[in-house]
Amino acid sequence: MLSDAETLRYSRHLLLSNVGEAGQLKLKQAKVLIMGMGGLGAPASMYLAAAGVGNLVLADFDELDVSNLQRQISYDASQVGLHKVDAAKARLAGLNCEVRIRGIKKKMDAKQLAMEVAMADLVLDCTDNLSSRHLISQVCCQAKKPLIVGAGIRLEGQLMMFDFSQPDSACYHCLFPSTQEQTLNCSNSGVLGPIVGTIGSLQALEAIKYLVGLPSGINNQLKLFDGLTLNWQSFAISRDPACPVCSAHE
Amino acid sequence: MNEITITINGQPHQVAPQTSVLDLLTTLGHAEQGMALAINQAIISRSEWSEHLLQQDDDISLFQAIAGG
Repeated sequence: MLSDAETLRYSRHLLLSNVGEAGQLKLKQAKVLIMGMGGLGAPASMYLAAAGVGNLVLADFDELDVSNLQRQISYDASQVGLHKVDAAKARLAGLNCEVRIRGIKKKMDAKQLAMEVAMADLVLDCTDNLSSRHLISQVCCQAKKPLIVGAGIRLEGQLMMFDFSQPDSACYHCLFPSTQEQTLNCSNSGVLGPIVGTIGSLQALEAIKYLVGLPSGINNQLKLFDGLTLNWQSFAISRDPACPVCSAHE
Repeated sequence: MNEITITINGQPHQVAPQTSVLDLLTTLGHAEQGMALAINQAIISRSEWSEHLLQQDDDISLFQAIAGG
């Protein structure tokens, strides 16, 4: 049962037939692991905390830099130099003190990551490099945990979901098999803040939908967002039978 | 033999019949790592690139992995 305070706070959710009190209780019991607290993780974590997701684990080993403030909107200028997870915890606790938030400030190896993923209901990949993206997908695949991947650069965004709890799910490696770090990131290519804001917000939307039991619009799909035209393209991702990652975890 | 017409990221392109995805990407100089390719809105896995042959009117999308966030 929701308390009177919760009923007031989440009244706009309770009006939705596909959320309601049952959905709100599912959110309250849920645990989401957010990997990366930059331009994607900042809005995603704010929406999940605001929505009443009961347990958030924030992982990022970076300290807040003044150049982050252009897009990482949960932080303020007085927090420059702090660990992002500490700055984010303060912000999210101020937003919703009912949410339990744990921060991980050091870089995790595969074993640690596997432990964290095993304890989560859902993982958001909000990182900024290809090797982390590959590792997170591999670990989620192994643990059969759903993964929502966002990325943004310049005026382009990418969004995809792999629900590894379902059989025959494709993985990040099926789509982008290369692990070579020659890809585009925000520090070498630049990015407009609302690009990562859009993608991070949609990761939160898909997370909430998943947690309350609504079907995803992006499972085994890649959505490409063009910030110049505001056009979206959708592509079906099939499992690569030759994929060394997901075919090894059947 | 008559060439077939495809589009690559919206631009029309002529290729010889029996051209594979890998042939096309090699010709374009895009066979390097980090690229993904879709034909008619379905991703073609890299392991299928050498065998998958292009068809008349194929709508090809070519894009790179984005790591930023």
